[in-house]
Amino acid sequence: MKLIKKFALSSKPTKYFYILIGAIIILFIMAYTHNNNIAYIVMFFIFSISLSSLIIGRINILKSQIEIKKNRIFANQPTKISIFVKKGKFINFNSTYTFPKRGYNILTIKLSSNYPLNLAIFYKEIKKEILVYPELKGVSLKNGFIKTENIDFDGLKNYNYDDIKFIHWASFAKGDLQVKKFSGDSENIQSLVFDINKLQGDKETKISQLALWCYEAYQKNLKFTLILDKKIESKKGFDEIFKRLALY
Amino acid sequence: MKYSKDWLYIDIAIFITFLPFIFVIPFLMKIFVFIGLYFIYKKQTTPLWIIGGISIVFHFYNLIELKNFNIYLQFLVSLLIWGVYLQRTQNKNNYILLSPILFFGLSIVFFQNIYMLFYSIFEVFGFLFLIFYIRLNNYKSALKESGFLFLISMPLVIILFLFFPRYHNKFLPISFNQKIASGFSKNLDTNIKDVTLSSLPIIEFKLKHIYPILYLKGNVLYDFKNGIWYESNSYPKDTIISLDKIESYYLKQYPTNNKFIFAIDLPFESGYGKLNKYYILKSKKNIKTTLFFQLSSAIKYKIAPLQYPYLALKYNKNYNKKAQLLAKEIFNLDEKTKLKKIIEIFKTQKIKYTLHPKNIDSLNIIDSLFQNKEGFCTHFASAFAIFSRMAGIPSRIVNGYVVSKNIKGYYKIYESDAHAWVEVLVDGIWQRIDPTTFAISSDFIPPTTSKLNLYISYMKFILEEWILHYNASMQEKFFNYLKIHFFKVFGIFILFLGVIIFIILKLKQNKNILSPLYKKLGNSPKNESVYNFLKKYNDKKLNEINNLYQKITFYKSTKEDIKKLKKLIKDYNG
Repeated sequence: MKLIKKFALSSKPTKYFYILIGAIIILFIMAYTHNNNIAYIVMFFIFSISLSSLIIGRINILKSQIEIKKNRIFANQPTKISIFVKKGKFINFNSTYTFPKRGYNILTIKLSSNYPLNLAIFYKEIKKEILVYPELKGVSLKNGFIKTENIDFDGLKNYNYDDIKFIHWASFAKGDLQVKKFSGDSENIQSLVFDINKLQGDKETKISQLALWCYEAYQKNLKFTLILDKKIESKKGFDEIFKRLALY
Repeated sequence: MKYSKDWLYIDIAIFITFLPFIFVIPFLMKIFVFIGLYFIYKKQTTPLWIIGGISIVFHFYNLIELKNFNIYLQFLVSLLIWGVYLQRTQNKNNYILLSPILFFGLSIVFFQNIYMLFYSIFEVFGFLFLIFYIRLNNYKSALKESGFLFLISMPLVIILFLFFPRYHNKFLPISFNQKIASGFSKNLDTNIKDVTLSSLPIIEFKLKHIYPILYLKGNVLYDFKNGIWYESNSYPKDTIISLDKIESYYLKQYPTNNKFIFAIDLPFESGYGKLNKYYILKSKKNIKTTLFFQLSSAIKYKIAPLQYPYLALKYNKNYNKKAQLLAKEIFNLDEKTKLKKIIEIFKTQKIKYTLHPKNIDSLNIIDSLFQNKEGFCTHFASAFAIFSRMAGIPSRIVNGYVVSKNIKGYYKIYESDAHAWVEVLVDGIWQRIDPTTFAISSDFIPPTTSKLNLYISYMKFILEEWILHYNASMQEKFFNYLKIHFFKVFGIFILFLGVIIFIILKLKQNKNILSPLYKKLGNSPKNESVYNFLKKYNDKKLNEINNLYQKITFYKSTKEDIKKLKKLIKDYNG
């Protein structure tokens, strides 16, 4: 009983299934009234082809296998996961997922297939544990941490396609184009330290803030040290840092 | 103008399902079918309206004719074709999508023959292939997939066909435009001097036992006037005294456009038609379509008339003067000796059997036959019947068919097997005498079809009997057979299943170009790439194969390279 329930629940007949049932009924009437053996044979063919196609379709979905490539998935962000069908025919699935929480989440992929004759759609759920990185949320590094106003003036340097706002207009008036130089400029920053204990708010906001900073730092190729319960250097790698963040 | 590809599948479906009808639609509709294609291509509806309308009206203006079922069907199909052609010029709609199904439905009802059986199975496969082709867009894999599905559903079809409960023994007597054999007439005209009989088939049947010669009764004739033997109803009824060697069989009778059904002598039970007082099987209406039904006949039997048939001694004393003198000599002997004497007289004649005798006087039939020594079965029978009447033995002529050639009890009778013989009343029992067999000069070999033709007919008949006309009684027959030979049938089915599984496995097998090489090496890569596997051998030739293989699979595959690779693998020896 349980088996039948499982069998029935995971499949859904299409309109062609009902059309075929209608065809079988009409053929049966044709065959029965005149003992028309050609109609009988056609009816049996349609019946057994559809029966075996349903069985084949079921076997196809049961034996189907997929492979999930490692992706960087962040919480609360629709992510396209690269899923490859290793085994099975006409397999459809949804590849964009959103996870609300960081840490190990269970990814439920609903595979569906209408192989071979589109008489019914078969479903199968594949569950896989997947690591979701924290949501990237908070104040950006540019606006929060590295603020140009807070950094001391450190003399002038020659113009090298810098931002207009850094141009030293006084020297420009003298006919010499120079820009202002600050001690807090990126090339001079030796090391950033992201410490969870120095941030305010609840745990999730703190983690999200740290995740955003780490993400931006990696994008800008900045070196940093992350302090959670232990110190972690940025050279450990993106995935290692984010794994720590996700599981903190 | 361009042919739009989304019409392709519908056009193929319509073409496949319509094909059987091309043989039966009227001539003008055939022309319309071909001319119409041009206007469909040009998307002109008006000419299609006009031409189609004209050809239908021209053919079916006589509405009374539509009472004839065949013509009514032709009318229906013609209308359908007209409709499909008109719809085809429009956009795609549900009517045009429905038309292949209508054609298919009509064809499996109206064509009840072995060709349609195979064609409908082909159509099922064709539709399956088409579905896969639409889904996969690759004819090779579509063929593979549809073949696979078709094959695995085959055993179930066979089981369902044999075991699905059948309730009645009806058969559907519908067939289109059949050739009607018309060589048989209810009377026997001995005036005919030149006979050419067509080779159209008349009857087919399969018996359990083999008999060297079988007579099939057509009609019993008593009255002889102006050289023609007539049937008559005024003679006493025949009754059965004993029946022996009873055969129950299926008879397939082709249309003859008369009421006679040619059953094996002597039919006593029949699923179709009625037996008259001389045990002649007759249909109620003229037979215009092929019949297939079960009946029982006795090969050996004794029948006798209820009263002594004095009228069967009548003959015209003005003719056959010489024969009358001969008959007078034996008139007073007892019946058995008289019959023996008459046969002896005929035996000594040594008459030449020819279908084109020159001098036949049908009234003086005995004298002219004995003098000119030329004639065929009609003349022999007529002469013998009259002679025995002269000698005081009541006689009658039977015309029908005679057959001896068979395959395992399967007989097929053609129009050219027509024959006539005599029945004489000796000791109160009608006895069959075939004067043709003993009066002719040498062993006469009747013209028959070749052995191969007979074999083909035999196969067709068996298929018809077991598939096309499978019914409740055949099912009972099958179940009885199954009870006795269960393991034989089961074994055959398992063997069939094995063949199907073998073919499926062959179909499913992935052909790897390197598999012959693996065979030679006695090893194949496991959990490693082909490249690493072949590299391990450190062999010059293998490295060459490896490089070429990598090029074909990962870079570019050309026919020349594949050929070269195959050759390298073939030439590789350790």
